[in-house]
Amino acid sequence: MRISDMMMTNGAVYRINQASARLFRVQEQASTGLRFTSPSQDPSGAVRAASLRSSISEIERYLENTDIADARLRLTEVSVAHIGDALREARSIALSGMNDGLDDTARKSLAEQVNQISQEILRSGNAHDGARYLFAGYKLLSPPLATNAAAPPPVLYLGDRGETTLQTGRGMGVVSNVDAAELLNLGGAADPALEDAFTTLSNLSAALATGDHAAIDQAMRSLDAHFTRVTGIRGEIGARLQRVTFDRSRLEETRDMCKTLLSETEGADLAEVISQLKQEEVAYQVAVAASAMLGRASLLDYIR
Amino acid sequence: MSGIYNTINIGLSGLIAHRQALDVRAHNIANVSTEGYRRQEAILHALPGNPPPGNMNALLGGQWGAGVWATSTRHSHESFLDLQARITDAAMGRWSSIASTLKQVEAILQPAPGEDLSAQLSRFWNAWEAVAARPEDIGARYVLREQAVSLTDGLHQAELRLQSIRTDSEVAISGRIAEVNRITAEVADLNRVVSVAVAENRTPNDDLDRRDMLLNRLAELTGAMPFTSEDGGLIVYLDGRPLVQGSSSFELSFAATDDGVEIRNNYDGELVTIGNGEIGGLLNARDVAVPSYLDQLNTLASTLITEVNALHRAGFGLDNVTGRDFFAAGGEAATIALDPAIEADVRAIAASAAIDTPGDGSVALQIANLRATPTLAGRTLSDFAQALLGLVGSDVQSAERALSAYQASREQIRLQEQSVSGVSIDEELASILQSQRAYEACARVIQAGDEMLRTVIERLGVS
Repeated sequence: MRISDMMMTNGAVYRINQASARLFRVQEQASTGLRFTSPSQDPSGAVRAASLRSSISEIERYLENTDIADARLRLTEVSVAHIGDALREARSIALSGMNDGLDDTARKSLAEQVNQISQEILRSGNAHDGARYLFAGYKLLSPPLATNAAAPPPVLYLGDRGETTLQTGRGMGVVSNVDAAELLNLGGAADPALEDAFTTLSNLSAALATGDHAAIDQAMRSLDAHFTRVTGIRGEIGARLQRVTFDRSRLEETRDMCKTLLSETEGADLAEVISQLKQEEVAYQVAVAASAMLGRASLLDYIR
Repeated sequence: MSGIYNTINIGLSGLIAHRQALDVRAHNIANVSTEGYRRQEAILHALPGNPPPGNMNALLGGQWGAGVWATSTRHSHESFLDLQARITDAAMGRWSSIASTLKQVEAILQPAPGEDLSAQLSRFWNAWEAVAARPEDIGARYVLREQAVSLTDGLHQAELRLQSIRTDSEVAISGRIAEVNRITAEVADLNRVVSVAVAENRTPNDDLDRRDMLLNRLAELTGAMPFTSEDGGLIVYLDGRPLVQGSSSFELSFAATDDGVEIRNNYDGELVTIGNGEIGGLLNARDVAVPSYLDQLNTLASTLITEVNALHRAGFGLDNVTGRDFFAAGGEAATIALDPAIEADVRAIAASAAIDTPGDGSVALQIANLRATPTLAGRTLSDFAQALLGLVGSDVQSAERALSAYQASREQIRLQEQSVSGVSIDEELASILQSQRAYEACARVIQAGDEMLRTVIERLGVS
């Protein structure tokens, strides 16, 4: 083949361009740490990466929900525990009211203590986390329990028993609230055969004031039923908290797996990239050096 | 009958011919890096003998040579390679236009790694999820509104920039049409010059080189191929109508209308279709590729609007109003916007399913769960956005692959061309030496003739 001067220079420029394009590509990989930076470099990889990124951001949202659920359930548990304690205290007061040796003042004092407990339970039922009333269902901007001027019943439930489900995954969630009606059997929400806790307490208070043993005994049995229910709900909250913890670690695992997959999809293998970088750099230098030698020797040097 | 003067004349013809040959070499060296230049060579012809055949004068004792004369010729491959080169140029032009336009589309749909429509959609659904978790929280609603605005902005930007690719293409096309007109005018001019020179039996080497180069560029721009007509003239046709016919050229006119770009040939004023070359590529990008991306973007936007609104209308805001849209109805990628009520007050966002239930986020949850609902031809909106990204990626990839394949084959053709037509300085120098020596020798011949003449004058003259 006859070689012309233009072929030498064009060929050299073409090869240098090719070598520098490859070098540029590897440098880009090394400096960004990404195997590809635009979809055209790996279309199916780009789709996979975009989908993994969506999954990760979705999972992170669910993780936030587990934090919210955890905080709400813990706060709820505190109030429920409080109510349980108050009911137990009321029962022990009732027990001491069964004593025949009590005088009028002592009975009145016991009745007054029961009234106080009733107020305490009312306050616990209206517990607030700074933004919402915990036991109000969806009507969480106003207190769910209010004393009824036209008793009975002594306390009205103003909430709507709405269940707030926080998603901890697609189509799965944790109920993050308890409603006061269920908790205190207001309006027979939990057990229609039983009166609500406030009625029980107000009956107890009245029975204590008069020393009516039969009525006290009746109230004690009701208190037991209330206590069992509240304890049961407390156990359920504990179970939900456990579920939240379980969901969180499941979400974290999935997220970490997605992140690993993402870095496998779009991340550059640095060891490989660096050795490639070295290679391409040498190839480029050789191309440049070879071009520098072009035309160094010529017939011109030999004719005088 | 030849005399001493004949000897001197032969020497003189040699001087002239070899100096001309040297000129040709000098011209080659001067043009060593001129693009499109094809090396020329002086061809030396022996001058016809004297006397001419048929004059049977035995006294003459045969035929005597009369010296040398030089003509020049150029080295060019057969037209087969020219055709190959132009076919490749046309395809290269087309794919380079398509690849560079699609690269822009790619950059629009993915401004940075991890920043595409599907990422924005994902943040939008997350914001709905957060409202579902805390429907009474005004802050979560503000975040949702911000995300919605950034999603609509993203769609507006993408739409606007895709549209601007189309207008940019129009500018590029009209510039190239102007270039085509300049080229065809010059080719017609060169045709005239060449035909005059050929009629005068000269070879217009440099004009032919220039014309070939222009024809290559014309092929790269439009895909139009030249051919030689029966009477030896050069004709270039584009879409069945002549651009150049011998020494006349016909201009293309360009107009951008609402429906598209109109290119007409003023040969007969009819519309011309250009499918190849840079212009063909730009037209394809403007009228086929970019509109299809715009369509998909609009489908995405209008589905998003319809699906979110359908759920949102059933819900209640914190202000207990229901039946409101979230996005202003009837929008597309260019016009998608929040409903004015939502824009005015985030309380209007309908998260709950009933009146007076600020803690109910069930409607917000339904909207958030649209992320997993196949609402668009069996795919979720995110899948659709991701597929769009994959589509532009593979479109760019195949355009770039086609381009680099044609570039490589063009490089091969260029090598073959230059192997024949390129100037080699070493070769020229060797020839120069040859011409120089021949020139010196011819000078010696003249000197010898001169001395012979002197001998005649001095020795044979009257003493």
